Amino acid sequence: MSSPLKIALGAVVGLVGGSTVAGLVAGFLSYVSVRKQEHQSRTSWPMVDVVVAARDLAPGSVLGENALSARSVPEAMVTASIVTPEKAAYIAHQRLEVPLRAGDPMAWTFFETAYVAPEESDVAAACSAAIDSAPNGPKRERSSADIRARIASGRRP
Amino acid sequence: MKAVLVSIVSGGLVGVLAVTLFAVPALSEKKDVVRAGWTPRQVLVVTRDVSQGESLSADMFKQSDLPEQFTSDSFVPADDQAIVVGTKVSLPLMAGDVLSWSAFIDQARRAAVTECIGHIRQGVTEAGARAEADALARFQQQLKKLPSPPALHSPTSTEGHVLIVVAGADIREGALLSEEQLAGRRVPKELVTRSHVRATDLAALVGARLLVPLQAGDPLMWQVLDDPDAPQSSLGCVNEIKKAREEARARSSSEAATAFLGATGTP
Repeated sequence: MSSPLKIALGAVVGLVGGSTVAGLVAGFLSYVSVRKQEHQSRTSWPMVDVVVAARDLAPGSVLGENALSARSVPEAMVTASIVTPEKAAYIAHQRLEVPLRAGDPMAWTFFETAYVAPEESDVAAACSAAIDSAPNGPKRERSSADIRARIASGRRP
Repeated sequence: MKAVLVSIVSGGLVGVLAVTLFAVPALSEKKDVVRAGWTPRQVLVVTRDVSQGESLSADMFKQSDLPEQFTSDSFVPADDQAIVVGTKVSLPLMAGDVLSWSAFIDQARRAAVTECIGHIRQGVTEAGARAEADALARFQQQLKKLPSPPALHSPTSTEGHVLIVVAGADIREGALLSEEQLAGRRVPKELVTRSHVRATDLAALVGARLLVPLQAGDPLMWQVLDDPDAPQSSLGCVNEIKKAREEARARSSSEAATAFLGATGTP
């Protein structure tokens, strides 16, 4: 004849044991399942390392060391227009001409050097400063939303 | 005994059930998070090279999927296709490029900068050249006034080692040397040439201009030093001329650009 105390104790032992075993099994299965999901997502997109904006960058900013980062992106996004990590030194300290979001790949055409000769960068900087300080001078578009709004409103570049 | 076993099994089943009820939604949520960044999002991809200034037509791009974590609002979503058709691109594009709004950045500012550069370029170049010529003339004039350089010191030692002067820390090019930046190091005399500065000549270094950058521990040599008031080395000459040209170009650029914009009103 079992006492009520032994029955209660047995229930507690069963509860703890069952929870522990189930927790371990569930944890293992969850880990495997999530990793499998992650692997499936990644392998369906071959990845390539490129140089990206480390943070949101405004047009006109000069890229310091902390402005650039490397990131793996789908190969489908990468053409010769995109800067790869081994060529990152070429764009360091260059003046950006377009707005970028953190993580956006850097393209060679995004920089002032795309239309200003390197030996004239000082002249370009002086002209930019003068234009920025002119009250009616053309202003830089600060975000993609600005560009979209202008195009949508019918004002073409 | 049987009742105890039943209670253990029952307790175990309740435990398993409780963990399962907690784990299933948590796992589902975690999988959603992992999957979230990889959900395809439609963007526009250019199908052929497009020149700057060329109008975009519908046959120049196609819709394509990319994981959403790589498509910030910098990229043109497929839904906005109608907006960009007929719009001229401001930047050249290559086949395969994902179309971003940056490709349509307003060209007015770039045109103004280009026009400004074209207008002031010659004046700035001439100002730089004049500053170069003036700096060179000043340098030559100083050379004529300068006494002969002091005789180089030859190391002597009876102990097999010579105490020479080294950089105590990293020192930038053009710095005026102070005693705090310098240190002594004992080196075998076979390694010391007449170019090395001996510790006994330390006082002569203080206030001299360093012509090249040094790293901590680099030995000081007479060739990399110059008189800050009357430079006489070729490297010092080059540095002086470069500095004069850059200052003249910066001054001229700023004045000319401001004058140009003032004269033209709105660029």
